[in-house]
Amino acid sequence: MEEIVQCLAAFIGCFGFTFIFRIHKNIRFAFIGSLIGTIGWIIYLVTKFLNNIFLQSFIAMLCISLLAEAMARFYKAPATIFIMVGCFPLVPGSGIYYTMLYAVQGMSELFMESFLSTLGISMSLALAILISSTALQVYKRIKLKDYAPIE
Amino acid sequence: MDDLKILEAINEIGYLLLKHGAEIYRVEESLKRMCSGFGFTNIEVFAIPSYFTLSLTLHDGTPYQSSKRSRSNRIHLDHLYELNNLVRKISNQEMTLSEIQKEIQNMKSQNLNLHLIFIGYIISAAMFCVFFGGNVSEMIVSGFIGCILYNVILIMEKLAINSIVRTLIASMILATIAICAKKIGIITHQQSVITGTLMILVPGIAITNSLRDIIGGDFVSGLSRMIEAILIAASIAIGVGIMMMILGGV
Repeated sequence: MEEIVQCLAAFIGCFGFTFIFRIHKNIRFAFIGSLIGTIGWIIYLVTKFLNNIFLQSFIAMLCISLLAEAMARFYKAPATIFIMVGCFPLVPGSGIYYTMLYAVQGMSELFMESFLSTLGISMSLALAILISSTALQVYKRIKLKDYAPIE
Repeated sequence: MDDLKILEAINEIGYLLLKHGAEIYRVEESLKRMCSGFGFTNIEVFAIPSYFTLSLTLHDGTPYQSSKRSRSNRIHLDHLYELNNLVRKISNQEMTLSEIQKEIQNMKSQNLNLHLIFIGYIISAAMFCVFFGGNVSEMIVSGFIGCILYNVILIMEKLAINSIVRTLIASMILATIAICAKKIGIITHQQSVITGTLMILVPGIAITNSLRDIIGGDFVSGLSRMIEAILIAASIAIGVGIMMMILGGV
C-alpha cells in the first residue's frame, strides 16, 4: 500500500516539475517523462532484494535513461527532456537532509556514513547516465556503419 | 546581404539553444548542420555554457566570424523541443529565410505562463513530501512552502541575485517554515517536509547536463556545470543546516 502511494506521489510530483521546467504546451512529453520517472522508482522498489541502494539506484537510473533515449528517438525530441524529469524520484534528497542533520547534531560517524552514501548514490546515477548515453552512441555508429578513422 | 541575414537567424537559434539549457554538443552540432545546409564552408563552432563563437567562409569567399554571449541560462524544455525541430528542418533546407525569421519571432514573443509554474511548485513540493512518507498535514505545509518559495525565487530572479545565494536563502526559508510548523505542532515529523520541498532546489538538471557534456567530450563545459551543481548542493545543505542549528530543530 505504501509503495502504491509512493509511486502515485512520484508520478504527480514529476508532473509538477515539468511545469517548473516550462513544458506548458507539449503535455504528452510531461506525461511520458513522469511515467518514466515512476517506472524508475518501481524498478528501484522491485530490486530491493539486492539489499544495496547503490546497485538499486544504478539499475533504476539505467532503465530511466535507456527509456528516455528510446522515447527521444520515437518522438524526435532531445533525450534531456525525459531524463531531467525522470531522474527526480532517485535524487538523494533525504540523504542531503540526514547528512546535514547529523552534522548539526555533531554525530560525526553517522554524518560520514550518510555523506558517503549520498555521494555514492549520486555517483551511481552519474555512471548509469554515462553508460547508457555511450551505449546509444556506439549503437548509432554501428547501425550507420559510421566508424571513426584511426590516425 | 542575404547570407548575412541567414547567419543572423542561425546565430539567434544558437543563442536560444544555449539559453534554454541544451547540451553543448547539441549547440555545436546544430550550428554546424544548419550552416552546412546553406552551403557555407570552413565551419568552426566552439561553445561553452555561456558563450559560443562561429566562423565560416561565405559563398563569395569572404570570411565571417560572430559570437554570442548568454549570461543567464534558463531551462525551457518546450522551446528546446521547438528549436530542435527547427534545426532539423533548416538543415534539411525545408524552410525559407522569412519562415525561419517568423518562427524565431514567434518563439521570442511567447509569454511565460507563470500560473502553471506556480502550480508546479505547489504540486511538486506537496507530492514529494508524500513520496518521502509525509501525511496529509505535512503535505499541506509542503504545498504552502512551495507557494512561498515560488514568490521568493521570483523576486530574487527579478533582482538578479546569483543562483548560489538564491538557493541558500530559499533553503533557509524552507527549513525555517518546516521547523516552526513542527514547533507549533501542526506536523509531527519535519523530515518529509524538508526533504520534499528541498527537491525543488536540488540541481538534478545541472548534474545530468554536465555529465552529458562530459560524454560529448566537452570537458570544460562539463566541469563548469559540475562545479555549479556541487556549489548549489552545498548551499542547500548549508542553508538547511544553519537554520536547524539556530532554531534547534532536531
